[in-house]
Amino acid sequence: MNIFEPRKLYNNLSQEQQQFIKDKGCCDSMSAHKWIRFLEPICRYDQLCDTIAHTVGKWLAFSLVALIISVFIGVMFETILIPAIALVPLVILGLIYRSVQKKDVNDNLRKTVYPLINVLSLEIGNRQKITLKLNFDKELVKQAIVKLPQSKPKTIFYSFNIIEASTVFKDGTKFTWKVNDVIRKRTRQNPRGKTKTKYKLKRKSLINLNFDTKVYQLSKANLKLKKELGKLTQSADKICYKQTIKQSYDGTTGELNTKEMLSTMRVPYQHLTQGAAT
Amino acid sequence: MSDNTDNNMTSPACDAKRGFFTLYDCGKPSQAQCSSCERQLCFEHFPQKLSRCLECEAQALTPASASEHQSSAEPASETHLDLIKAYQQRDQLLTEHKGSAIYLGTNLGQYYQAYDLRSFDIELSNISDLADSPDEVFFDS
Repeated sequence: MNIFEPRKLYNNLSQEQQQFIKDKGCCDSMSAHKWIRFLEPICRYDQLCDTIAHTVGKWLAFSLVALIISVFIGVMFETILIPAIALVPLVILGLIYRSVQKKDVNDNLRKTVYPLINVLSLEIGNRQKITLKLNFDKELVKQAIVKLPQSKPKTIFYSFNIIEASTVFKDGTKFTWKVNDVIRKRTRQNPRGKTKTKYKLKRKSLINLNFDTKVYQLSKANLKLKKELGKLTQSADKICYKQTIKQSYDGTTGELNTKEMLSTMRVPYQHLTQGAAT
Repeated sequence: MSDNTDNNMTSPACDAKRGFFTLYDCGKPSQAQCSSCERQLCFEHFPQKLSRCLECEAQALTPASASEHQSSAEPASETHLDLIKAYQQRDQLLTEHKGSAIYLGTNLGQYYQAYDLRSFDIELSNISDLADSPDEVFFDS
């Protein structure tokens, strides 16, 4: 493994791809295949960075232990040379780790968004565009605050729309997907005066499918199942399906579940019957 | 792999079905025959670099080998691998939930019988505003 490989890979990326990594997101409308071409090198870069960060992280911990031991040896032999030598790899590895982490891309791009675009590429026409707004920059800044409760412990809520996607499938079905992250930051002071901060992430993934009544309709039998299919409603020109997937994680990041999302999107199809067009 | 590139005008349509939740005919002229499933397919569904079609590759690919590929695959085959994984997800989902997906078309064929698709007698080309414009070639085969 070459630790300079990510840099080489980064330099080979187009300006737009580099900008995506810097901004931690983008907003554009392109065909599925163009999105795949755009995101694939970024995902490859992210995977390499993750592998390097993992390995460098291990060596960093090892160097830290070596430094602590060298300090003891240094004290025993009354020399600063040994700790100084042990400090060198720690600093170098620390700088590499920091530079890799700085340009880290959210894993959800590689593990969820990119595979999902591959799936959508099967479902939509080759020239049909996917509008995608990605924003993985979840910096806990003042602008992102949505709720400031008065109570103690001090709790602040930050809200981020990390993914917004929309497209039209080849059968005329309109698909929209929104992922909203709410991060709860809770700060409390223990009796000894030490401040502790805990983060919790609550994620809402809203899937919306509008089916064309030229192609599909809801049978009367299915309309009777309204209780079960509460999210499936029919009007004159469309059948609307709305579903929200809720997830919660400790910390500020969490992986989206692609399989659950596809299973959720599949549900309405089994209740549809043939529409008017033949 | 048998090539029929000279016979583009007369070659039969590709036997593969596009779509994930709703399957429909590919519509492109077939260019080659898959040695595994013996279907006539276009280059999009049977890229020349592969020894069998994308769907046969997907069925042969176990989740474990997919993740192995992810870490070691060469860049040229990565595009196909991602598509193969998408087909694998389709295969898993439609096998797990038999009878839930829909086929919009008239010629389903034997290959997809395991999914127990519900066939709707609708051709997308008949619905003018849903008909797709001629396909671009995006992938190098």
